[in-house]
Amino acid sequence: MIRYALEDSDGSYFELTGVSIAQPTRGSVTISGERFNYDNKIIENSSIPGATLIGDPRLASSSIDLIYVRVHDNINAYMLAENALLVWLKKTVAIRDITNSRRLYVTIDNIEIRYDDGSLKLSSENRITFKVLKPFWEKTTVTTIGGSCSIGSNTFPFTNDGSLKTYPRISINTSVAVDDIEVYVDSTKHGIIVQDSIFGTSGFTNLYIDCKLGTVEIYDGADFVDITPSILGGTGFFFIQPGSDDLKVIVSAACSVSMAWQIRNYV
Amino acid sequence: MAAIVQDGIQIIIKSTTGAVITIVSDTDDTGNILKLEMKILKNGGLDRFSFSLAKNTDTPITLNAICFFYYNGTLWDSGYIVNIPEPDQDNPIFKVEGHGWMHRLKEKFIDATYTLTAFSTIVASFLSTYLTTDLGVSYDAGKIDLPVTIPSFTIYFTNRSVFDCIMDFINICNKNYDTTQYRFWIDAELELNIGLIEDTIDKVLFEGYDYQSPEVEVDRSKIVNKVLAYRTNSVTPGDLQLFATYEDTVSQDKYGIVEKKYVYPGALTGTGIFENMAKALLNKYKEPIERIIIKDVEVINDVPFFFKLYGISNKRDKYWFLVGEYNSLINWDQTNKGVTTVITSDITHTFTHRRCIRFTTTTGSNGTYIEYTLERFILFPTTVRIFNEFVNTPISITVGFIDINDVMFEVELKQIVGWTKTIGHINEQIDDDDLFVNYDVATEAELNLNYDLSTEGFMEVGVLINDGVATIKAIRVTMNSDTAMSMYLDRIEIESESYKYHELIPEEIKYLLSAQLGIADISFGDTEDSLIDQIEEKVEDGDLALAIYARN
Repeated sequence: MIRYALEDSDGSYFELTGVSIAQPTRGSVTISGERFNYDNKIIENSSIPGATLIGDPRLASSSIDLIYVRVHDNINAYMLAENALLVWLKKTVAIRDITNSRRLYVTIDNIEIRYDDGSLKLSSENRITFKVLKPFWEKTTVTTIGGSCSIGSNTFPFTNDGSLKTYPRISINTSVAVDDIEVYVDSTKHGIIVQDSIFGTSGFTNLYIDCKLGTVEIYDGADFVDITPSILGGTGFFFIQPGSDDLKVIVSAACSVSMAWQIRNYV
Repeated sequence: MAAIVQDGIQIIIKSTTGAVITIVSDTDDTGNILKLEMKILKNGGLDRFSFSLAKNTDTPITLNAICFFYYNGTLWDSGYIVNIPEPDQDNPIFKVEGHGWMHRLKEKFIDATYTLTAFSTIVASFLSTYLTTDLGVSYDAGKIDLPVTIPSFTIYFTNRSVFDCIMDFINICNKNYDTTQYRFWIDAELELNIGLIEDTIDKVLFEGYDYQSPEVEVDRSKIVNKVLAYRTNSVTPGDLQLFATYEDTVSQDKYGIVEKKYVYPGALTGTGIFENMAKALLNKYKEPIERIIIKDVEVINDVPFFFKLYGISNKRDKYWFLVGEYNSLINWDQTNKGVTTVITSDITHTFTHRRCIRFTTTTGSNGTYIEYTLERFILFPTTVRIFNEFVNTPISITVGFIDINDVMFEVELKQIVGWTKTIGHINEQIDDDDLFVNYDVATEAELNLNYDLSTEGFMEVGVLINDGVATIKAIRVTMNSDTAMSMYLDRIEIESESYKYHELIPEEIKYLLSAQLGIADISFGDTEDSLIDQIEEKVEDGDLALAIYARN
């Protein structure tokens, strides 16, 4: 059985099938009704014989149902477990599939609690419908490449095994000033150039370019300092396509570079 | 006044005598303040505000009471209440509205004359005289920062509001709009400030991360890049005499020639004053006016948006950047062209626009080059298009693209010799063998094109720029032969997938704040708040702009 959990914005999660809540003495958790919708948006130009497809196919909005059957022997245990679930639902931003180390970004669309027919609230079937905000499952683990860079152009081959583009996080470490960093994907020529005179000087040895969050920061030993003003105008955050490509890194001094990303798949 | 160290919004409401009437806050679970809206302008500071309370909130609030706004425990701004809903309204939400102190400045009118007085003296005298207690705004000489380069002049204020007079001062400060910008505001201590807007980027905002779907407007209707200076004839005042023209050829290269006629008083002599004014006009209007509005920008931590310079990166897309139209030799470094290679501006072999550059080579030309530095780097280029023409025996000429690390990628124009252009303009691509091949768009068949240099016009060459070139900062054209020849270069453009980047200062910021949410709508853009904007078509004796530019 796949172990599912509710995840909040801090990355903490509440396992539905594990030990973090009082388990029903008789019951089950299932994810059902996960629908994968693909809306082939076609615009036909009827003036041309045979018509022409000129629309872009795209993913339609999807939803997913979580059905949770709970049965307890006493009402206190039932209420405790049920309220714990509702508290977590309030702050849920993703459903986590612990078994396969991945998450699905969602928001609650509807909660339906159907109690048993008896006079005591000892059992219920909960149907929680989530609206899927991003139409992909994202790995909770990261894939990383990288290594040492010398002055000039450096090449790091990589393969994104996912089925969608994803946004990487670049980490650069050095103990000498590196005032020019050019990072781009070779095939698309999408990239970012950071020209910062502080990076690499004493106490400022780690620089992070997070293309998922849209931040460029230097860690000063205590805080992450925003250095977006050091981004050369016109360059910026980029994605990596599925498949193999090269990461090009051009630097003005020796340093080490790594790129980490989370694989994304439709299903 | 002690700050209240809490997250969220607090408003201390005081009487006009300074006594605390009440404190409202959203920092506890009772949520006295449902939301706070504030509109802040670059010049003047807080314009309007409103905050909402539940109707049954038990707190006294009076008209003209002074509100001190705290955000996350920091005193931020202040204003005064102008409207309180009637208590018998049906709406359960009680919306209190107020103004910033700039409105008091707009409501007071004065007459004043300063005759041939230093600018700093005029400002100090004006502010110490007219910022009186009834306005609620006071003067502190330490909060006035003025440019030092403005000498004495005469100024008349007749039935003019204090606000407009101060805006005149700001316009004078901004006479060199392209290099420095000043603003004025009233701070939370109810004191007037005049200061220079910092010209370093405070933060770069990205579409898709910090905001979505910006409203972008580029107004080219006000471009002026050629000033025709006319003077009224002192003998026959009805006659106008053209006595000088002033141009910005870089702007003309980009947008074509846009002339505007200005008429100056006939009694003026010398050209310095006209040149000063024309230069200011060209600086202000040589480029189109950009405006960008971004909405629902999240306000995190402290109030993060100030009237500073921001970088705005609109979404990454495919753009063609014009490297040069080459209507002039401006910005071409000819240091290394040698003595035998002749570089001239030419009008006889022009494909687009007005002129092109003619290269004439002969013995000694081999290895000579000229270099053009771009106004702004082109980043992550993918394709370049070069429009050039040989009119007699072609030689090898390379066009080099130099990146910010001085690494050069070269395109050799010799490769295209011998082809005849038989259809429109061809769009070349590089095949696997690195040769230029031409494709028929309809059939995708390879075309056998022979370029007849003697009869055909300009050639458009498409080149995929190689791996390893991430930036282009300069173009170098190098002669590779001593053979006598003429070549014309008319235009170079480069395709790049990049963010559309702007550097702009906010003009207006609207905040919607609560303990749960903080968002801002920000309007960025060029304003008209330069002294030169007072010049419409005719310059009159007594114009403030004339008084200032006559001496600068």
